[in-house]
Amino acid sequence: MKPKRLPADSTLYAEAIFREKDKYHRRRATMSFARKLEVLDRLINMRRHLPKLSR
Amino acid sequence: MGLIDSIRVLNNLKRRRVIRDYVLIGGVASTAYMEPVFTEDLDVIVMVDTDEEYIQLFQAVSGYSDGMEGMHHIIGGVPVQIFPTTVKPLYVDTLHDARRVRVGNLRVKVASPEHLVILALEAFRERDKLRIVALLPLTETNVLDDLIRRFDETKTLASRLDTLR
Repeated sequence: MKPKRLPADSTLYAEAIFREKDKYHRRRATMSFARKLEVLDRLINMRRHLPKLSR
Repeated sequence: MGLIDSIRVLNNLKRRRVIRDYVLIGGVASTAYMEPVFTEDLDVIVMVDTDEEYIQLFQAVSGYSDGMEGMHHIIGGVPVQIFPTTVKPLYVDTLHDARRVRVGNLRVKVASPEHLVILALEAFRERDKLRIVALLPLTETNVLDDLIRRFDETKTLASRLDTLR
């Protein structure tokens, strides 16, 4: 069966994206403290390479 | 080298009785309860009874650190700022009511969400406001209100909190 196309004004895709994004952030908030510290370490190590606004 | 190494060194200092007790505060401690937020240093409250004891501890920790960056000790490659409990009664309470968190095979004390909120209310920079908003759902309202009643020396914390509730 050929899948039906969603109408152009459908918000289903956007809603799914936000639902998934919400799940992702909830997973990140509930992962172990050790894993969170590893994430922070990566951010600290990357700080020199982060883009900065020129003044 | 990283935050886990810093915590390992701090735990070793506690085992060697250089540090009597300590608790993590600030961005790293907040991360125990919420999504990781970028922070460059590790903030720690240490238990001391007098300023002399703090100076001794500060110098002793210098012996175990990789160097200094301003008032930060570089421990495990991470800048660590050490605040003594003699600064204010809120710090003593933060240490007293700390939660124990596991980091792999290490154990570390982390400030409660209510204490992290009141400490962030004191600093109240833009990043502190974001942290407060993220931590508020995890706090017990009566505990937080009680902390503000006991420790709001400037009488500004309650109104600051109201702007974010």
